[in-house]
Amino acid sequence: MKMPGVKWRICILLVSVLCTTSSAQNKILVQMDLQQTDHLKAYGIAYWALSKSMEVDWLLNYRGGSFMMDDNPVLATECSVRGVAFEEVTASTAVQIYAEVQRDDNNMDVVRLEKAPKIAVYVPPGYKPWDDAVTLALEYAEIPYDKLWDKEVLQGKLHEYDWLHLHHEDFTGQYGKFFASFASADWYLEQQAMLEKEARTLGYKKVSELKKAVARTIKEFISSGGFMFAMCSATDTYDIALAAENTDICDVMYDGDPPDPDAQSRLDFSKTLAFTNFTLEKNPLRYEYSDIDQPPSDLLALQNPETDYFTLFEFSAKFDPVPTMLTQNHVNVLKGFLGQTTGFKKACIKKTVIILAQKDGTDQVRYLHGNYGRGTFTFYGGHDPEDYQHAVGDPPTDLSLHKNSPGYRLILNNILFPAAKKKQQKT
Amino acid sequence: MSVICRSAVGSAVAILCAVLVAGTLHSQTPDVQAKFRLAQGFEQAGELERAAELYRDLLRKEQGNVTFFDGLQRMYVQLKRYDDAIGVIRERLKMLPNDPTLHGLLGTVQYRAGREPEAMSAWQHAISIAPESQQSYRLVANLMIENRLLDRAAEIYRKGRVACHDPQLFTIELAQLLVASMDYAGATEEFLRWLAQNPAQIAFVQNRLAAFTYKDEGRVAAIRIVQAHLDDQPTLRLYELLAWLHMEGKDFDRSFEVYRRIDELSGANGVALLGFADRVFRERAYGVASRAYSEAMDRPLPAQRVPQARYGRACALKELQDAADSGAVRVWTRLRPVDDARTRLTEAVTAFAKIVEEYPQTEYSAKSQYQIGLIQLRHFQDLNSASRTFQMVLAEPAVTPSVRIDVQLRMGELLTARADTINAVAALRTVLSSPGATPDQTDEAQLRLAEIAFFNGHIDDAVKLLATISTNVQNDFANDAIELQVLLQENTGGPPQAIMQYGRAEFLARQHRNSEAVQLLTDLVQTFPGSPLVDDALLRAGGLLTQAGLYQEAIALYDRLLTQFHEQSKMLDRALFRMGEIYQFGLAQPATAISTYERLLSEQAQSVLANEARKRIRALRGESL
Repeated sequence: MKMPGVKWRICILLVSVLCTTSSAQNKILVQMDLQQTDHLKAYGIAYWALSKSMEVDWLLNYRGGSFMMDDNPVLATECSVRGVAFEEVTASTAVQIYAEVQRDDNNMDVVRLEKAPKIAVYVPPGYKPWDDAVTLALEYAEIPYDKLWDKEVLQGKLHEYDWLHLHHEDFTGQYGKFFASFASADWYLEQQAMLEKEARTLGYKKVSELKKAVARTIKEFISSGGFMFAMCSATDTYDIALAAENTDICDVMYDGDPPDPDAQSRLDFSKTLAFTNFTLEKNPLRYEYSDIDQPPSDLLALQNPETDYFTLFEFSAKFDPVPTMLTQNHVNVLKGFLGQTTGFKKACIKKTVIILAQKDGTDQVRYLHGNYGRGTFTFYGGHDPEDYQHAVGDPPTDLSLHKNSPGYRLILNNILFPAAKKKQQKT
Repeated sequence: MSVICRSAVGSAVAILCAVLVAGTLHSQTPDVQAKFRLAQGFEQAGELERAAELYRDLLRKEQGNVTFFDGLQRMYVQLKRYDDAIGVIRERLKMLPNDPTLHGLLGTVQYRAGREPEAMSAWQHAISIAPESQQSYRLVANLMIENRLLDRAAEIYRKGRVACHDPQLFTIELAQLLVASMDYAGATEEFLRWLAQNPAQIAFVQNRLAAFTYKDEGRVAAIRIVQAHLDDQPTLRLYELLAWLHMEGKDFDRSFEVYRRIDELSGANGVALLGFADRVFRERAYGVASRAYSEAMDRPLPAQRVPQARYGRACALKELQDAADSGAVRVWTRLRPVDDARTRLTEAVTAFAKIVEEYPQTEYSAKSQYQIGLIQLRHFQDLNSASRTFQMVLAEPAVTPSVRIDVQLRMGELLTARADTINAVAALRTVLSSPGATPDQTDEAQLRLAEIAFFNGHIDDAVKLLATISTNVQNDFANDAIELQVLLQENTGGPPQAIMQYGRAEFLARQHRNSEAVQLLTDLVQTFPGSPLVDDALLRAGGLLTQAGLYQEAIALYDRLLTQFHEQSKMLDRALFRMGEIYQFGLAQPATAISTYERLLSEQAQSVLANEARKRIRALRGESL
């Protein structure tokens, strides 16, 4: 019996692609390669389409991780109005694109995005979106979000959301360890008083105890299927707070009593999400929490922005769609940027965690992802991808000047990632 | 003052302790001294258990030694062995049962051990030893602040006031504490208490209040408290503070109300209102300024201040009427038709004229004449009246040198509009030769001279003159100069007759002969269809037609650029944008405006106007950005 030829097989594949992944109609392709005029607003378009119940296909690794949607004059106008470049493609071209993406020998895949995720950002009341890369990105991309703070988290409001963002919050209760530089600054005193008041109102004697409770609640949120994304010092301080469940790591100026002299040995690394075997920074006047942060905050001045770059790892789109989604970009080498927590020492990262980006030739991990329970967490080092060394009081970054920022794209990949339809793993 | 005192007392205590420690150790055996040094060494090395052991041995040998006691309790606290620390303190209390510091220390350790009721009781005991001494309350309040019990510390200060029969006690300490706890109303109460005792220190109080009144909630709380105090006791100081708070919040109307009272209470006869009016004028709150000037004049204002008030009011009226257009239309100002200027500015002209009439031969008379001339020239386009008015300004004996130079600049402008370029050049050269001319005045003169050279077809001369000013981007006229320079340089490649014809058209436009200018520009397009000036000419003609309110004719010209010159023009985006503006502002057709802006986005996606077009679309769609 004669076996069907290669041509037949391609035809069958094309027909099946046509039937399963797209209806035969013209499409709008929001390309995410160097042809895109505003990468950041393109995510806003994808979110907007999802919120209008339009189906969005995320073409992983196809032209920088493009979006494909059914052609629709309203959508095309919205792209134009928001300054997002797009191409109108015919049904047959769309079929060819889908076929190319799904070919076994291409490291590409299609992920169907189904619903606009509900986003929460953990920030104090009255917080302005100037000092937080994620809220800046959300505002710029016009993606709606709600603000939550300790009270709402402890009241269980997190379960109303799909995605939670933490930025440079200090979950250790040491007020960012700004004491040495800003102990008498109005904003520092006010922040301390506000947090202490909040802790007492919620029934905690110390801010550090309140923050531990918040960290535990967030962990429960992840465990039950939530997506958590943290940047800058929210990453290491979150895990430190979890590890320090049964000890006191705060010095007298932070919580009114001395730290536990055996705090280091009482850390419980089984409770953390990403980091293990780290050593606490015991000096209360040093602007650093532990040895997780690479390079340490007090050595940031030695960094040279001209040579500071990190590389995104490549994953198999068909076998590892999640890390592939998180690393979609139009470049794979990105400009570095500093933060109170800039990167993570590789030796301190748990083996179960996936490293998404690293500074070449160093043990500095910049971007990582892991699973916990039914949910996931992603940590991204540094403060602001377009402000190399963002200092207290610096003006906010104007993202309209950085429409194609690869660093900000990584943040926005995370926002769409919870919208992806769960797919059966191929292995 | 209190900080200095505290630091001096602190230093004295430290020196005394050092002397005591040295004296104590000097009288001790070498073994005790060595052990003590070893304990200190262990402490510094972080070996707290071993240090504690040594301090305990030392204290056992010398039970009364304060240094050993202090070392031991400190180690226990560091090691979080709070029960042991409490035991050591209790032992010492047996020797010194009436030592408030020891009771205070006991309270601190108990609080850290989580025994809050016992801690409160120990601190209460510390106070009860000398319940009428302010030091007792200060000691305990400081310990509570150390333990971040800010609300409790405030309570202690308040109790201390009552117990010591001194309601003014701890005012600043309490105020600062309340600011730190974000109790802004309470803090304001305390600062007002301070102000009542020190009425001359209003600047100090404002300075302290400013630490939180920059925030809305802080300012609202402060205003509420000051207002409540005013209801009880209306004093000038409190009114001044209230007015300052309203000014901080840019609430000029409320501030104005308060200044009325200040003026009355201080018997300022309008001078306080006049000062307020000048201030809000600088803040560009022209409506409030105008009313404040009027009210100042309604009071028995000192005669020498009346012209100032009148001039201020007239200037406010002018600004107010000039800015009468809504924000949306203001963006279109450059293309707005010249229509109702006379009606809008009549009141201001009348006000300036009265000053001229009633205060002849004064500085205010000269300045008012100049303002009238300016309105006649720029808004009414009445060149004869403006010329007469400027001559009168120059004849005023009290005219200042700066106003005299401004008049020469305006005369240059006026004579150009009359096509009398020879005299215009002479007037402008007077400015250049005036030693008192400011850089802005000199640059404006250079720009006007360059324009005249361009109108007369002397393109190279114009470019040379522009080169001297367009490098200074801080300059007020830099943009105009750069715009003209770009036009001249970009079009040098084309036929010279075309740029000269364009210059003549501009000259006609300057003379307000707009229809002739439009004709010349459209002729240029007809005669030199291959010239790079075609799109400039069509856009300029479209602009002049828009100014005249001939919107459909303007749209037709822009459409001509979009169709006939589609291939060669680099200004298609501008034509589309201007069409959108006409539909948006001139014809009030928002749907057509949106589609025109959308056309710009789809056909000219790379345009520098794309962002502005996007904003306009979203504003027209009613979206808040």
